[in-house]
Amino acid sequence: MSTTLNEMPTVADFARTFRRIQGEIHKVIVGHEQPVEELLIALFAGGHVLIEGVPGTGKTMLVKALGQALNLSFSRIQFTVDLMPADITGTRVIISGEDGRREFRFTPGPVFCHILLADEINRATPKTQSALLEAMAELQVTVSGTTYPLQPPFFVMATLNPIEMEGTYPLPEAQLDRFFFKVRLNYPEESELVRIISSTTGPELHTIDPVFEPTEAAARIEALKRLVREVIVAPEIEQYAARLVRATVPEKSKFILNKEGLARDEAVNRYVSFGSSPRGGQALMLGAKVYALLDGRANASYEDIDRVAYPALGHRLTLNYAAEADGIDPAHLVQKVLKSVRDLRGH
Amino acid sequence: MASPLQRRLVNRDDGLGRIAAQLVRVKRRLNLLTAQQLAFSTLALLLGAGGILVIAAFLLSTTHFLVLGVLLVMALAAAIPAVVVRCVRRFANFNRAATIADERAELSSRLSTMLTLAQDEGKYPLWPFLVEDTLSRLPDFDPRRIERRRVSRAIYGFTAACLIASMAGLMTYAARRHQEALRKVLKNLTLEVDPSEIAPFDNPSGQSAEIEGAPDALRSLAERLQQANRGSGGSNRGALDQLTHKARNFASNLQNRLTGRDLRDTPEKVKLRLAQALGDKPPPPDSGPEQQGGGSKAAPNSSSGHPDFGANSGAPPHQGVAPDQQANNGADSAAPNRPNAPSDLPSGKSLEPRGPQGPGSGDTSMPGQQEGSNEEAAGQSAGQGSDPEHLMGPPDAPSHKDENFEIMIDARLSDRSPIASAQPYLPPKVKTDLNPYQHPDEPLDRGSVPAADRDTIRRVFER
Repeated sequence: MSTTLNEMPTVADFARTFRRIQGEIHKVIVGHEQPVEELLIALFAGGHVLIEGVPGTGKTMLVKALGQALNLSFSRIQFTVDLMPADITGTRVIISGEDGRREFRFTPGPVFCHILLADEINRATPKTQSALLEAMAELQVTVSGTTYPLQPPFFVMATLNPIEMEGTYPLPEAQLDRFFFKVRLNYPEESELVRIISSTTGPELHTIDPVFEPTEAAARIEALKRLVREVIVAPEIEQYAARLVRATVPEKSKFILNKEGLARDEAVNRYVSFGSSPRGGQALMLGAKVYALLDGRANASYEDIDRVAYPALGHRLTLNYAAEADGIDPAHLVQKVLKSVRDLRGH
Repeated sequence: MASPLQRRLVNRDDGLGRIAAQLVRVKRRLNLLTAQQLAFSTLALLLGAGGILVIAAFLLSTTHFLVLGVLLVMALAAAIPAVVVRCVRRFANFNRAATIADERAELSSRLSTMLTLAQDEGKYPLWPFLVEDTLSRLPDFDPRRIERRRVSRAIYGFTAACLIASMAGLMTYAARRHQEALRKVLKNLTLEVDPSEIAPFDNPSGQSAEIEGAPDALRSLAERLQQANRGSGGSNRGALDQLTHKARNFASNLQNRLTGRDLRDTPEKVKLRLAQALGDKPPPPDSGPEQQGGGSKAAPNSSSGHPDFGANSGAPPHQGVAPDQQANNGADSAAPNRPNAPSDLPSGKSLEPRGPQGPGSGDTSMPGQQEGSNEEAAGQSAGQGSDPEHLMGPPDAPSHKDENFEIMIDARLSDRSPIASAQPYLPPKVKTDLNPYQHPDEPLDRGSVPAADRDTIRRVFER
C-alpha cells in the first residue's frame, strides 16, 4: 500500500486494492465474478447488498470470505420467523454491579459490527426486518430511547432464498429500496462446479489472506469510500442518470406532477407499477464512480452509468401482474429504459 | 468561430492548454469534412439532376420530359435545404468536438468532462489526475485518429453525379457533332427528284402522305402539329390549358436546346434538282427575269398565310412536299419581309421549271399565267390560268425533247409551321357530270363546272 492513513489514496491505489480483495475472495468462491464485483462496488459506494440465490450457491461463503479479506468484524444472523428485533439490535438487560446495585445496561446485538450477514431475511417478520432499516440507512440503532451509533464501515449483506416461499415474508418495497444493489447468484457452470468440488473436497482448504491490517482496515476502507465520492462527474452525465431514473416511472403514476422525462418506452408504461426512487439515482452515480476508478479514471462516463443500471434499478422497479403474466423480467425493462434515453448521450 | 472557453483554454501553457489546442485541431478537421460534405452533396445534387435532365431530353418525349423536370425541381428544392441544414447542424463547436473525440478515441467522457468543468477546476481534488491522465492519452485523440478521412465520403456521390453529367455532356456533344455534320452535308446537298414524283400539294386520293424521317424530327413535328391543332381549337381554353401549353412549349424549347435540335439557326439550304432531264438541251445559264416574277408572286401569298390553295396562292403555307411550296418556303426564309425576295436569290435557284412558254408565273406552264410579271398581274393571270377555257384549250405539240429544266429550291430546315393554326389543305370534292364518251383530253363543258371547283380541276390536270 503506497499511501498512509492520512492522505487520500490515488486512483491507482483504489483499483489495486479492489482487485486484490477480489482475488482473495475468489480463492474460496469459484465463479460468480460479476456478483463479487458488484458486492465490492456496493461496499465502496457505502451501500448494502441483497443477495438472491438458491441454496448452496455460496451466499454465506461469499459474505464470510469478504469479511476475512477485509479483516473486519463480522456477524451473522439467521433470520427465522420467531426472531425479534431486539435479537438484532441488542437490548437492555439488568446487570448487578460489584457494589450490589442492579442497573439496566445495553448489550449490543449482532448489528454492532462492520459486516453483517442477514441470512434468509425473508423468513423473519416484517417487524424484525424493519429493525434493520435504521441501522442500514442511518448507521445507528435506537434502543429504549437511546441512540447508539454504528462503527463505519457498516455493510449489510442480506440473502434471499427465492424458493421455499412457504412461511416467508417478502421484503416491503421500502426495505428493498434501502439495498444499494440486488445481486443474483446463479447456478455455477459445469466447469465451475468441477472446480468447486475439487477445491472443497481435497485435503488442502484455501485460506484467505486479509488485505488490510486489523487496526487500519476500517480507516482504509473509509478512505477509499471518500475517494469514490471525489470522482468528477460532468453535469450532462448527472442529467443522464436522472433521466434514466425518471424513465423508469410510468406515465400513469399518481405521484408525478411534471410528466416531462417520464417513461417513453411502452413496456415500462405497461408493466411497471412504480419506478425507481431517487435512491436509485444515487446508486447509479456512486456505482458509476466506482466503475470509473476501477477503470483508472477520475471521471464518470455514460458507459459507467449503463454498466451499473441493472443492479441499481432492477430491484427498485415494482412490476404489476401483467408483467408477471407475460414473464417480463426487470432486466428486460432496464434495457428498454436504457435504450429510450440513449439519445441524451453526447452530440 | 472560437468560443471564449476555447480561447481561454488554448492560451494556457499547462496540460489543459495542450489538450485544448489538440481539440481545436480535431474540430477543424471535423468541420473541414463537414464543409466538404456540404459542397460535394450540393454539387452532386445539382450535377446529377442536370445530367439526368439532359439525358432525359434525349430519351423522353416532351410530356415525360416535362414531368421529370418538374419532379427533379421538386426533389432538388427539398433535398438541397435538407442537406444544408444537416451539414450546418453537423458543424462542430468546441464541446461537440470533445464529445466526438471522447467517443471515437474511447476516452470515456474525459474530454467533455474537462471542458465542462474547466471553470471550476479548483473544486475537484482529482482534477490534476484527470488532466494528467488525459494528457497521457494525447496520441489517442490525434486529429488523424479521430477522423481518418481527409476527403468526405460525399465525394462518391459527387463522382457519380459527375459521371452522369459527363454522360449527358457526351450525348450533347455527339448530338451537336451530328448536327454540324448534317449541316455540312446539307450545304452541298442536292436531292435529285424524279419529275414524276413532283405532285401538287393536294392529295386527291384522300390518303395521308407518308412521311419518313429521323425519329426525333418526326416526334418534334408531331408534337408541334398536335400543339398547333390544339392552338387552333379556340380561344376559350382555360387558364390551366394555357399554362400547360406554355409549360410544354418551355419544355420543348429546353429539350431542343439541350439536345442541339434547335433548328432556328440552321442556315443550310437544300437544293432540289430534277434529275431526269426532259430533253437533251442543257439548262440555260441565266434563269431570266420570268423566274423572278414567279418568285415575286409566290412570296406574298406565303407570307400572308392564306390557308386556301387556289389560283391566288403560289403555294400552300405550311406543307413542304410540293415544289412550289418549297419555293415559297425558300423565299420566306431567305427574305421573309421582302416580297421580291426571289430577285435576291442566286441565279441557280429558280423556283419553277422553265418551259417553252417563256416568262411564266411560278405556277406551271399554263399559258394564261405568262403575264404575271408583277404581283398584281400575277393574281390576274392566276385567275385566268384557272379558267377551264384556258386550261382545256388546244394542247400544244409535245416538244419536251428540246426542253430541260432544273428546279433549285432554296430552303431551310424547319419542322415548324409559320402559322400555328395551319391545317392540311383538303381539296373540295369535284362534282362534274361527265360525258360518257368523254375523252381524256376532251374539254368539259364550261357551264357544267362549278366556279369553285375550277381550281381543283386545273390542278388535277396539271398533275
